[in-house]
Amino acid sequence: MKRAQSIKSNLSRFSQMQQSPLILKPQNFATPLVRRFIQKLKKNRDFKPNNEQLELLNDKSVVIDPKNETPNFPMNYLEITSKIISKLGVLHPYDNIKILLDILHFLLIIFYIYWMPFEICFNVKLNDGVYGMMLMFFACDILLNFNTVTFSSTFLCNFFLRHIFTMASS
Amino acid sequence: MKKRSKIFRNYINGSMLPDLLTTLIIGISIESKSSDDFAQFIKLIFLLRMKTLKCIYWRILEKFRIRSKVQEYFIDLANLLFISLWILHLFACFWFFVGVHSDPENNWIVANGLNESSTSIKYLTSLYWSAVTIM
Repeated sequence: MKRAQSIKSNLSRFSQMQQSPLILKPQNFATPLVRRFIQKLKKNRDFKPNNEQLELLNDKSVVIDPKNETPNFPMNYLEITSKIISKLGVLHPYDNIKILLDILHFLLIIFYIYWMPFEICFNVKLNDGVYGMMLMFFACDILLNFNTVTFSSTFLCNFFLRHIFTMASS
Repeated sequence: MKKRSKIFRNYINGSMLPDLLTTLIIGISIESKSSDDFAQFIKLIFLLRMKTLKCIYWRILEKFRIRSKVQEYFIDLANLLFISLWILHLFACFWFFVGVHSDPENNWIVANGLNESSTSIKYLTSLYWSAVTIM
């Protein structure tokens, strides 16, 4: 009896969802494996399923645009940028490119540390182009720092302890 | 730490503020006029970058794996030269600044007849004074 009731309630829920114009989530209908398969299908570049095929797979996650008859995926700029950033990957601090940028950064800081007191006391000013270049470099450096791997203190402690013990044992 | 959220948190808690401030200082330097004293002194905040300089210095040394004693001596010598020259330069600038901002008719610049000289001669004279006084 209970099972029959639950099937009835599920069916009524299903019919309500089909009637509603809202975006329906696939987890309401498909098992996790099917859901994963549908998501992989959507990402596939070579073969893109049309609405009928998606419906056949029991996927209701798309709102069908009657004019184009193509799935209207909810993609906004934030999603696109997050996808691009996730594809970029993180930089290692000892990577050759990072070290090259670090050397440039080092030279720029030394230059400005020497130039700054001279500028303050002698009232001389550098060319605006040089300042603009430095500003660009430092701003890019901040953005790059968000994308650079850092070592946690526990990792460093473990690393040095292991290093010391291996040295002591040898 | 490879997770972006952890890197983000770590950077915000660590050196993000000094980095942002010093970048702002460069922006102010573009806009400021040379006569504006406050804008000139705000530039001293750039010295916060010294911490970053130290980090980068150690990272570069780690990358090039300097192990031998001779290399270490050369690096120590370079460090010593850099720091002593920087201190000399700081004192030279400060000495000139004191001269400019003291009595306009009775200061060391006027007394030495450097009032009409070029900036390079003024700088070299004050550098000479600081070198002789400190060394």
